[in-house]
Amino acid sequence: MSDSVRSSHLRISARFSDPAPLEAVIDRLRHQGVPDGDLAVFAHRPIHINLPNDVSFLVRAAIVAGIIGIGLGVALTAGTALLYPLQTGGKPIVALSVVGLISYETMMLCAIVATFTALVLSIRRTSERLSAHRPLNDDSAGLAIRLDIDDQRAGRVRRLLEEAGAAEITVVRDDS
Amino acid sequence: MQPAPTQSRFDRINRDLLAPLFGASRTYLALISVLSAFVVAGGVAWIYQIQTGIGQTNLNPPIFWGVYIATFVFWVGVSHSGTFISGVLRLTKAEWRRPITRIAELMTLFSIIMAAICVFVHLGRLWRFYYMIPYPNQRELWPNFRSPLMWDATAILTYAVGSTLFLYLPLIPDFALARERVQGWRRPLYGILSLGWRGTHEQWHRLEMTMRIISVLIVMVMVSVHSIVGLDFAVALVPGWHSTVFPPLFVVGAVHSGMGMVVIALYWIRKIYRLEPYIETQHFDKMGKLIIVTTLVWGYLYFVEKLTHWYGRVPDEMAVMDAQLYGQFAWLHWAMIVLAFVIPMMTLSWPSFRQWPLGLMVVGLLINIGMYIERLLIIIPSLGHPRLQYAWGAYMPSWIELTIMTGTLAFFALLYLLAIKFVPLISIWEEKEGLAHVR
Repeated sequence: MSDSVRSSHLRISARFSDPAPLEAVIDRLRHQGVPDGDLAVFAHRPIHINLPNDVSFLVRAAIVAGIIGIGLGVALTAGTALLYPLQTGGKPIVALSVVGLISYETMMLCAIVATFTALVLSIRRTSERLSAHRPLNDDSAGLAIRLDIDDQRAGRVRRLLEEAGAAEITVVRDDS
Repeated sequence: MQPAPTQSRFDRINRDLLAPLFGASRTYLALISVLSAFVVAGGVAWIYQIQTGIGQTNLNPPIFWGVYIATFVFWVGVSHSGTFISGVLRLTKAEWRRPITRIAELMTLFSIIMAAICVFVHLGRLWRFYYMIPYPNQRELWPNFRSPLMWDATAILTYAVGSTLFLYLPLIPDFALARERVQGWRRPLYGILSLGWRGTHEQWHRLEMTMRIISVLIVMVMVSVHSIVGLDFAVALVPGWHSTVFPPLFVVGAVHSGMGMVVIALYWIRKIYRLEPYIETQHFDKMGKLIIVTTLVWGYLYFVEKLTHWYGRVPDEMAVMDAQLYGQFAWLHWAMIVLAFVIPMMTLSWPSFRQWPLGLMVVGLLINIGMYIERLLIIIPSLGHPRLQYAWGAYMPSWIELTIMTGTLAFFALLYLLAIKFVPLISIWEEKEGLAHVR
């Protein structure tokens, strides 16, 4: 199989005015061999579907950035002592309590910004996968399926979606 | 099993909650004009102060902090509304928070902007603000991190950034919805602001997780910010300030005034935009109950703080307390007690009163007047009564100070009114989610 053929897919979109049958449809698609990674449900409100999704990277981003933030706070306050070495009666110029206070704030700042940034990057990445699917302009739920080019299989999926009550089904070939 | 929420109910939510974005009544435009006039007056007064010097204020030794700092503390306090309501109620999964969070979060953002403005106004030579930013320089100058004002700068920066992102996060899906439903100049703007949001199951899960993480962080920042503002006073050896109770007293006082301000906004937004189906009397009832809690805790801490000073009978401390309780500031002090404690307790303890939105709005207003007086009473009597009696002084704000501070109040209201035309005041997706939960 050439590279160009291997990267071609069918993008099937189905719109459901009631998201209730989606769970059953997804189960049946799984039985037909469609991997979870090729399925996406989208809507203008949260719909909780049993599809895998990884959120652990957000926690990791918060923790790592928080640690970096502590380092930043310590560097700022301790940097004062290094770059501006005033002699203050033999006492350190920066008290530990001050290092703690500033580091606490910088830890929070870095953790918040990093978590937000991680989310924004993930939004863009997941949205790119749906670029071939038309956005919804109402409160229905959309099901996006990516299939290898196989007319028979596409026909079976289409019938399945029709039986489940999909209001609108579109199939496009994605050669990207 | 009850029937699923129909499309028509979702359509109604979309229609009702996007409606305030469009059109502007004459009253709205008139209000914008009046507020703009106040803002311009405040701006002109500030420019005049910059041009002619900080001597235009009545800040003279021993009173070097006046209404600017009192107003700064007040706005930081108001900013706690959004974080407390949104953050804490989100973490506790309180269902009734849904129509309130956005209104409170917007309040947080704008009040923190006002607080920052107050700092710059108080700086006098505001072009030297960069002295607070650490950067290598030839003069070997470096910010003095031992100063509580540097703690303030760091905390306020963290809080401002965190609050902005905390407001923005739940707005992303609403911007995406608006992107698909509006035309004209707003469409590309909402397109950019929605960051390409498509509402996939992964995006929703990640948004929820991000909001959970940031809720925890922002609540921790909220507590630290007003604690640090309290420490601005508590770490100084000024009579009346040097108290370990100050940081928690400031945090609770901040939440107290913030809740009062949210009730005011809830009342007017509900009334003007006919949002009674969303902001119900039960929301006022629950806000009223929370205000009782903050009133009691604030009253308790205030009493403990005064009792400790009174029992110690340290002459310098007693001079300040006497001025507050029986002296020249007594009328202000007792007015504050009545406005911030007695009236909320006497009214909100009645369940039927809590069901009366107008009544709650008035109580919220009185609480805020009372809490503003409290900020003045923390600053002025203490600075006016230093340890050496010959240095005692008095303070009355100049017209420049009053004009600038009135300008910040007008600017706050103006920003809020402008935001109404740009941001859905009630989180649309959360309302729909709530409808699904009811199901």
